[in-house]
Amino acid sequence: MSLIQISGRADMALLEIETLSTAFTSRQGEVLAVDRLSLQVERGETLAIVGESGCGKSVTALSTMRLLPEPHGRITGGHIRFEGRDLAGLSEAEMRKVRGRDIAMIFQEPMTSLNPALTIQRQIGETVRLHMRLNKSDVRARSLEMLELVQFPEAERRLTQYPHELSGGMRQRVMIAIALACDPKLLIADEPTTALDVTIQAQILEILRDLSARLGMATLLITHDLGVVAEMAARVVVMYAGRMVEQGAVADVLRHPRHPYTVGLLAAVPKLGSSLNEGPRQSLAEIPGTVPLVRSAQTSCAFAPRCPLAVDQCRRELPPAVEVGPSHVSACWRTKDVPAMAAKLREGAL
Amino acid sequence: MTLLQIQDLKKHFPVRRSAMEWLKRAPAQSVHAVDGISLDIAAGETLGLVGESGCGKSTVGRSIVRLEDATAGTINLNGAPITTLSRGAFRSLRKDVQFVFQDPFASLNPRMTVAQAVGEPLLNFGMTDPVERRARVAELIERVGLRPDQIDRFPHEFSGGQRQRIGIARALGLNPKLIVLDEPVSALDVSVQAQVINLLIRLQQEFGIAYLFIAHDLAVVEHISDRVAVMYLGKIVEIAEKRSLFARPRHPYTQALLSAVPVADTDVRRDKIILKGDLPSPINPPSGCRFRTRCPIAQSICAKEEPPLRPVSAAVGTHSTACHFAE
Repeated sequence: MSLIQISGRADMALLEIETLSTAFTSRQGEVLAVDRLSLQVERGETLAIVGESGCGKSVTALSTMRLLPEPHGRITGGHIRFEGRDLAGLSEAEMRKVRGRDIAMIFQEPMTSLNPALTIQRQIGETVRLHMRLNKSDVRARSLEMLELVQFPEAERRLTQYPHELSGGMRQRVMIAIALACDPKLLIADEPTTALDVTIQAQILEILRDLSARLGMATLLITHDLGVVAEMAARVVVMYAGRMVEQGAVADVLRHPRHPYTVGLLAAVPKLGSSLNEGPRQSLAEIPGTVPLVRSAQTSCAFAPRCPLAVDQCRRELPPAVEVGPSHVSACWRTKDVPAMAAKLREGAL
Repeated sequence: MTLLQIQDLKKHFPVRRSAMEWLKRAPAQSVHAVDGISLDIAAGETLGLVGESGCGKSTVGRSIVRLEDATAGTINLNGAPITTLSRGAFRSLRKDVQFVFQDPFASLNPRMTVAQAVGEPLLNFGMTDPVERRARVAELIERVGLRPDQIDRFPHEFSGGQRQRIGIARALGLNPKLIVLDEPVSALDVSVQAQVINLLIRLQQEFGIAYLFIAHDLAVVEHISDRVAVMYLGKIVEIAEKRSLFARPRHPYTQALLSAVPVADTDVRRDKIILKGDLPSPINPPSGCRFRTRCPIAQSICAKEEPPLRPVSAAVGTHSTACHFAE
């Protein structure tokens, strides 16, 4: 095991987040939503960030897009390098040229992110007009092309419809069409299918997968659903209390998790087809307690109070990210003992 | 022993006409939220009711506790006809059937302490002695995994999972025979969700309560249920012992639903059935089989004749499905 060298690589990643910290000020005082997070998204790859509510995954996305509700939420440290340029230091005017053009974002609730007073055509056209300087008929053609790309039925007729006339799945297609209208290099998708029914989720995930492959676009996918991670991403970052706790190829992390939190998350979810196994129903593995609120830079492992493996060292020292396999990283003092813990949990002995 | 029996239950909601439609004398329309379903629940069993938004599953649950009055059909609880009793006469039955709501933030009165919220049904049903009531609340709170010293706190002092436990304690208070659980864990994070599911299973084993577990998450429903009913656009399309249903789903909708669930295992590469289009409007549901507009195997008969729910071969127990082509 060796300490990971996070900074400076010759072949530059498309997006490189380095020791990012983001804080919020509220009536209850300061809350550190993201605490020295580092990750990279390579060109064309899909990276998933997974974690429960409050782990900082959405705040990471908003920080990258510089969409934090300033001054209450602000980046307090670190760098966000997109093609080598630090977005954290850009002015609002410069940032506007990046948003929608180089980096686009889609949100969980398409109804609240579309403008209810504008037609579909106007909303797709807005991005195109701003960034691509096309004339009126080209804007319309591009809007139509985008709707067809997201498999929007009767696109021509529906260009003049308003968001309220569309179903949730159709609205999310419009959001994707807007996001992809200027051929962004990176798409940030924040829980894109969480509000949708499972059959509609399958349609949208299929479209996203197909388009990112066809357009060679990188995707930063934010989700709480490990099933969605398995279907969509090549690599995954598991976050807990604002920090990365595990990172690696999706197959490695899901099949051989090396952080107790990842193990707990996997065991807490009932598996489809579980009733087909012989024997009595097993109870689900619980992670006792709840997610802590982090107020200042962490000096010990935030998961220790809920961790069955925790020892004194975990409560005293912040665990560094160590390599546990090829491009597989875990931030846990007891990562060596995690496979045995996972096996015990499977047998229901923990 | 059958505890709850629902027969041909219908619930239609009238659609308000706009002034223009009224002037044009457009016909009055209604949303066919539940359109003729029958099912029963045995004492102590869990029936899972699944389906996508708008399929009518919540309306079924709400009709059982008379939060909705049925348009047609009957619901019998232990032989007593819930749907036709007067409000007053139904009151005595309320003890036997309780309800847990999805959103633990909206279903607890923010100005009532835990002792008041959980104690209210006890008071309503004759436990007037405050000391006795407090002791009972403390016992209930402990049963659901909270500390008895927390009973004078207000809902905002608890997390989502803890609030859902309070809702469960409130439902348990009157020793009901049936609890209708409407999406009880879908607002919770997975680690907390596991805690609440385990609690529900434990309580059922302890008290022998029957559950109607309404949810959209198929894996959760499979975990907790004995039998599962699948709804689509106001109808039950398939109902079976869970092992039979998950081993060999017979209705094309159930098959599509199961194949669409993302599984957290990169080794499992299943062929997905991706349905085209959206749910049709429940105001004018398609003729014949309601699923035919999205069904990959629909034929001309599906538009003409509505397939009845009929028994098919089952791996375990019974298995019925409403499809012309299911063997």
